[in-house]
Amino acid sequence: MKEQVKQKVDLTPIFLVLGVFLMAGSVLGGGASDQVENGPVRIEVTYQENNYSSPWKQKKAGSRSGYGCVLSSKRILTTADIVKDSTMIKLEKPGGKKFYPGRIEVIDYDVDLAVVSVEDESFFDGLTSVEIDQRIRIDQPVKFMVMENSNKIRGIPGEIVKISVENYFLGPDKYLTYGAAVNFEDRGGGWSEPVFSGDKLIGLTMLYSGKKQYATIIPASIINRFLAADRPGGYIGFPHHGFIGAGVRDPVFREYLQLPPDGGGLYISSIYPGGSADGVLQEGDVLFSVDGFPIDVDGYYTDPDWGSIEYRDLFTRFHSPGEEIEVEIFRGGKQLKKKIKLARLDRSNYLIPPYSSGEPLEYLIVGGLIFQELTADYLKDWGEKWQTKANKKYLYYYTYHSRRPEPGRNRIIILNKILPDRINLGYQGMSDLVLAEVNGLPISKIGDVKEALKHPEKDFYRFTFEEFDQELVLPIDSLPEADRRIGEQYGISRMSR
Amino acid sequence: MSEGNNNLSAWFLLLFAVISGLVIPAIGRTENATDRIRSAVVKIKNISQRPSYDSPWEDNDFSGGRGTGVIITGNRILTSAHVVSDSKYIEIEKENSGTPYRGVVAYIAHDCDLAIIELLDPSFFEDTTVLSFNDQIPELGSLVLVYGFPSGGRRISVTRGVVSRIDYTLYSHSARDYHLILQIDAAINPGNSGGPVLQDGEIVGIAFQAVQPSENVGHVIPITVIEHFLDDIKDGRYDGYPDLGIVTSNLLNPAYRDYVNLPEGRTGVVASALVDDHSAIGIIQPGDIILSIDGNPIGNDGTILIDGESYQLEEVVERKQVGDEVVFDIIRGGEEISCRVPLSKNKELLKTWKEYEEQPEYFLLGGLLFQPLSLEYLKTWMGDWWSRSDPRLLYYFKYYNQDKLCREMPEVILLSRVLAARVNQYYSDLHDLVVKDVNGVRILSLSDLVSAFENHTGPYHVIEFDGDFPPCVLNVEDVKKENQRILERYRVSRDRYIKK
Repeated sequence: MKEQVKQKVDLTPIFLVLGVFLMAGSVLGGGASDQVENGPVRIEVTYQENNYSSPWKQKKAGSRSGYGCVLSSKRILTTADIVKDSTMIKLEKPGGKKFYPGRIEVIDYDVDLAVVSVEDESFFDGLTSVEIDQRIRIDQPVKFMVMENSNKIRGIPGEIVKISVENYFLGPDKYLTYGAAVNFEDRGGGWSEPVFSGDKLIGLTMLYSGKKQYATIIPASIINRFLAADRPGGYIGFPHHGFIGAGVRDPVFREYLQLPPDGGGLYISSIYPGGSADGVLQEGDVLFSVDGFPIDVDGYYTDPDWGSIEYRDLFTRFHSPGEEIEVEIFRGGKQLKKKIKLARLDRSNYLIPPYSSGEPLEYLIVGGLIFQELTADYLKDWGEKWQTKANKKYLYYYTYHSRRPEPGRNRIIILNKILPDRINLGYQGMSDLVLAEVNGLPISKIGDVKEALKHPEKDFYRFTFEEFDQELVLPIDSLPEADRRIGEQYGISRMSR
Repeated sequence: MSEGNNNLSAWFLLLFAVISGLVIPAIGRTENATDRIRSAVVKIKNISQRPSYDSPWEDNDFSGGRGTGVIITGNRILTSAHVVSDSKYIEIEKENSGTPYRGVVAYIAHDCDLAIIELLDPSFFEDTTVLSFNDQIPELGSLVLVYGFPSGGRRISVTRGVVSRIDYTLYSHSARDYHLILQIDAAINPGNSGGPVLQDGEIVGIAFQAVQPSENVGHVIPITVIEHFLDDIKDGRYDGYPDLGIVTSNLLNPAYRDYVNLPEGRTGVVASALVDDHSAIGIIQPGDIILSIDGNPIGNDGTILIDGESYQLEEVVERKQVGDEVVFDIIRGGEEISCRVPLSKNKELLKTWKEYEEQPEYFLLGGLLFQPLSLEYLKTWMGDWWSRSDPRLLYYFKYYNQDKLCREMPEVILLSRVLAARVNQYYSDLHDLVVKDVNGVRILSLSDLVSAFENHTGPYHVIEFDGDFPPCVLNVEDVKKENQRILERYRVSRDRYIKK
């Protein structure tokens, strides 16, 4: 799905050079004044990801660096992929001599955006906030703002070449993007470089392909909606249309559906349980229009400025969760008007979460048995070729059911592996099995396991797995001693989180 | 191992590894004894042709292979199944003779890689001898001689080896079953396959496969497996091994033993699941503790002792035929009882093994090609099919029994691909979709699918798929009009093959 990958450029040498400058006390302050003063600030992040195969551990810490811009609310806007899994965020002003610690205020992995706050207000001295402009056209010249090693701001020229709905970097969903022709040369790109048209911000760079000299930009309209979603009561996110649609070009299919031969429509082939369309649309409906915009046979509507854009944009760009949207559908030979109340579809709606929550991983180790949620990140720990190497059952669920919570099942809890100890003698070959029950109680999240352990069967805990109904049994009385032994042997400080 | 068999390319790595073994070892046998053996060992040439699972109305190209066989009683030649599988034409030659005789496959057992060849002209046997079997499994560390025609050649090659291990291994020819093997430290080269392995002038096994990464390791089909085969075909038909279908959990864990209340001093395993359609279902129940099989006490690790050697409990079933019985002593609900399980073969609806001598099943309508999911089908995904195939197909394939998918979908019928034509122009990219319903009828087999199409009277064929895909809708009249043209354009000789 994600063909474009962030161009990997080792940024460490830049930091080193920078450090020298700082220690030498070079003054660069004046240098930036003839540039746009609302230009980028630098964000340096130390991050550490969860270790999914040994969930009590963390992976090796790494560092990355990107850009942000100052918002009128005296906060910094950047992309989520720059700040995710951070253990420390440092901000630096153009020509700055100092690091300012930052903290994530809001993060949305689906639209790859984040807001970072800075405690030390003096950071904003001399910085002006950006003005965000949603207007754009194809062929429009733009500037990608970067900071040179000398801490000078530079605008790299580019040109908007495409406006379309595309995959985003972290989440599985598609939103509006701008595509731009730009050459970042040896810098590499995709590190949240702010994109300006004149003195107005039109987007943040999400991806860059050096081979194609092509950048994908998160557009101003998505940024505005993201900022507006940060309500006093909490972040409300983006709505999701909540169905799977397919085009209806085939005249035979149209005839079969009794659709007029000319005209458009999007065939609803599936509805997400609990999503926006649940209870309003049905499988087999044909979507004729959204918000008054007709949908064509390929699922596109016509934007007055930009032309053909995929229908999803009508749900995400113009509305917030909780709002109603009017749709026209075709069902059983009749055209009907329906109102859809828009709902968010976020990480909590997934059977297999597509990205990490940024929180430490939940797990439970009992008698050496490691239980945790099945997530996309767990699959990715199979290595570079995880999409072909990982467990076939997991891959099937991930590919075809990842956002389909089944009734009564929130998550898939798996037996990752067993840490060998004498208490689990005879079971040690078991790994990567789906936990169905503990002590006869059904399991659909890690908390269910903890709860079920309060209800032992006489003197035993009994674990039942889906595959061939295999079961294993642990004795309660010798467990505390065994867990202590296992903790010591394998260097595990916490048996659950 | 036959030469030219591209499925088992591992063999070629071992090519010519033990040519030094050509000198017949002197182990106290007379020249006459060696001559007697040599005149019982024959060279086999096979011309084979496999069907295409990609275009199931066609055959692939011919290929040739060579192997070895041994003459046994009744003017029969025993060899490995893979030497003579998918055969179109077989030639048998005696050492040094240069005169080929026409052979035919009388019996072939792909699951244990054995076959019997008969000759059309019995005069072939006039100057030959017959070798007999030694019905004891040779001892570990004992010497054996491998006779054969490795890498072709007119003269026999004899290699000496030591029995280094007796164990269960996957028989890779069909990749269907694990059976007992003798491992010897002599390399078995292409052409050696099907050749006799002898001890004291008697057959103790048939050489058949090598181990890929290790050098100088050959696998031999032991006498127990050969006898099972010869016994099976006595009634004029090869039935194969019975399928017991008990999934067991070991009782090595003391807490598990306590939990299931295994009486002090007893040992056994727990039946954790019964596989649908297999022999034991309905007789053995999940949770039963199995104490013994045919009177052999079962250890907590699932092994039994036969003649002082440790085997998995399945070995008892390995030595039985379809129609025989096994008796289990079990504990169920605290009571010790005996259960008789008549042994049968399962219906084998999802073929998870390599198939031979079979015509692939398919149905082609309006350019839409429907085929059952099988290992042979998955192998049509070029290269590393286990990595590349669609995750849904791999899941259904691998977890068919484990996740009881067999109950929902006894046969998994695929829309495997579309031969592009006007009638299907909006669907010509569809491939590898699991068919759920056709014209409102749930599809559980290929014949269900055919009748759902052919008994349909409405104006549209509607094919619905497993998963979030829109249906495929075809105009019935257009399909009727264009079907013959599609068959002709793509040179499809017939629109279906469905096994009775």
